[in-house]
Amino acid sequence: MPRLIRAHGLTRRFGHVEAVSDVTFEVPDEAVFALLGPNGAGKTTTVRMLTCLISPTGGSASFDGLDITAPGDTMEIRRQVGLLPETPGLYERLSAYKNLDFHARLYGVPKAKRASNIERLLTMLDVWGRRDDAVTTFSKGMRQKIAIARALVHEPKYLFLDEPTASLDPEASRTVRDFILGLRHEGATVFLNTHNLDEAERVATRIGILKHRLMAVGSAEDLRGRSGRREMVAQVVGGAARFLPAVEAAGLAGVRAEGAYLRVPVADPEATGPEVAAALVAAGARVVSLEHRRPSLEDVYLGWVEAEP
Amino acid sequence: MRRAQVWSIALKDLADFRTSKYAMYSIVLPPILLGTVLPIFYVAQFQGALAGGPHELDLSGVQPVAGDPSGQVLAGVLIVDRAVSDAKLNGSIVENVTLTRVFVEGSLLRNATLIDSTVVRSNLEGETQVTNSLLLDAAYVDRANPDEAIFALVLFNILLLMLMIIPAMVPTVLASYSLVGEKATGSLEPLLATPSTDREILAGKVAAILLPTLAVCWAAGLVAVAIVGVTGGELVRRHPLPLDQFAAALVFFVPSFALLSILANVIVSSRVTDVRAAQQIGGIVVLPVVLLFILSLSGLQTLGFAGIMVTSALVAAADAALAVACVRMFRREEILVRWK
Repeated sequence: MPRLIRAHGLTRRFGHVEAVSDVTFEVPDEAVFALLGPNGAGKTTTVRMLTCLISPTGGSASFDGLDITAPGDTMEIRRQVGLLPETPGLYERLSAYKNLDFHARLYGVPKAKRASNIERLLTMLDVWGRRDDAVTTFSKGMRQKIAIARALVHEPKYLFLDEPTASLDPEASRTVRDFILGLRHEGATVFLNTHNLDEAERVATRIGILKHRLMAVGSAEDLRGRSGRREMVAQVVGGAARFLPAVEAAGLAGVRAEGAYLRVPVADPEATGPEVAAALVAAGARVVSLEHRRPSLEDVYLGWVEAEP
Repeated sequence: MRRAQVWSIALKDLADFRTSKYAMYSIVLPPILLGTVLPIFYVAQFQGALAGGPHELDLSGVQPVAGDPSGQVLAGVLIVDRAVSDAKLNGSIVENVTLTRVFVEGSLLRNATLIDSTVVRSNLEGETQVTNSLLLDAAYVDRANPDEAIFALVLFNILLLMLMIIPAMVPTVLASYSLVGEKATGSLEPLLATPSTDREILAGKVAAILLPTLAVCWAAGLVAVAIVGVTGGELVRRHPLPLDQFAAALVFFVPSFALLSILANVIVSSRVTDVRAAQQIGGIVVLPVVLLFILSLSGLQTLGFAGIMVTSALVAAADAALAVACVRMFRREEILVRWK
């Protein structure tokens, strides 16, 4: 039976402030779902609700039918979930091994399984050699690795990662990202909170854009397709401005000239592309290139987020 | 509540305390200071003050006094069955005498009644009635010095109050590490995400603070009693410590007071964001104990067995009330949303 995280109308108010409003989405089995949003958009609150740390003030969510609002289900959900919070939150004076062993105990992992899981994870993350060192001696990247191992030590069905690469240097970020990709290939169901667009695009199979309410959900490709920001970009020899009237005369609106480039917003590239080319050639333009440029995820994201007050 | 879960949390906190020098100093130093240095210092002080016994006086040549000695300065006289006033006596023996405004030095007083008088470096025998008079270095020849009883009482009060101060001090530091420390480093959130109930987490943390507190408190109490027994000598043989009361204090009073301090510190921890602030505010818990200490020393009274049991019961009732408040406060939602 496929595993599924399903949120319906999930809402959380803090006094008069609605941190998360009427959020509805589904995360299918073996998917990496990235929740994109600016700081304070409600991403952490959403994760806290889903991991049964705080309760929603409205709506509900479920993990394979286990309801986060049903008191009888919350303990089972916690058993099935692994969480990497925004800060690693390790016991600094204890060793990496003891940190993991403690958490594995709380999840009821048998002794032999604890030992093998800890060894496997620390080896995968390349920190097994320092398992007995106090965490306080570790770099930020190493701490993040230990925290990720802690989230996985009980072999959870669902993994929640809240800003896993925030405040890491590029090398450590890449290591963590590669690890998430590895989990994706192993078929894990991962819920990722991030404001790193590149990270979301690289690792996620589905992306949700959140700014208190969920504005869009889909694959990166879907979101680009829905943005309506596609354009044809023509590079011509000499200044592009003198060809503006010719292109506009062909019935194309919103055309902009930027140096040697002419940007033409299009709804249907296959229909409009040839028209642009014909208009330019007819006007005597020497066309170097003509390409259909799809919006970046950043364009899509900013389009949604900036539109939201 | 699952014991394995509680015990895992307690063991982790204990391991964490062991790796912190500051926490270890806080666990070990107060009992060492209060359980060893304090009794040694106190017993030695009283040994010095009460040492010496009766004075060696040369009274061989005393002669019965002729006439009324009142208003005179006399030396080497024997006064029997009289009333003397406004006089000064030196190297004399007085028996069954009422002395009013008399200065006595180097003399033996048998069954004397002293009114507004001063006695210096003299021996006392029989019943001595003292009204508004000053005894300086006066030795009781045939019985224990009443000061010894005061010594024994104060010593017991000191030991008893030590059993209040240690359980008040130690949890203040440990609770700040266990709760505020976890909050500050962010380790509380992953702990709350585990399949442990709020009560199991709270119970584990309370147990981790309670166990070392009880251990050091009981150790300090037993060491203190042993030190008093060894160094107290004749004084302690004449005025043995009421060990039944002390045992009652160890068994009933210490755990209830330690729990009071721990629970109060849990509440403090929910309202502060750094370890030092928690320790400073938590230290206020010690203040009532210090007040009790001062009152007890000045009032020269002790709790007694019944008093210890009643106090323990009252503190246990306060524990129950605080525990209810702590359980309400120590909820995931509260910790993540409302705790500072």
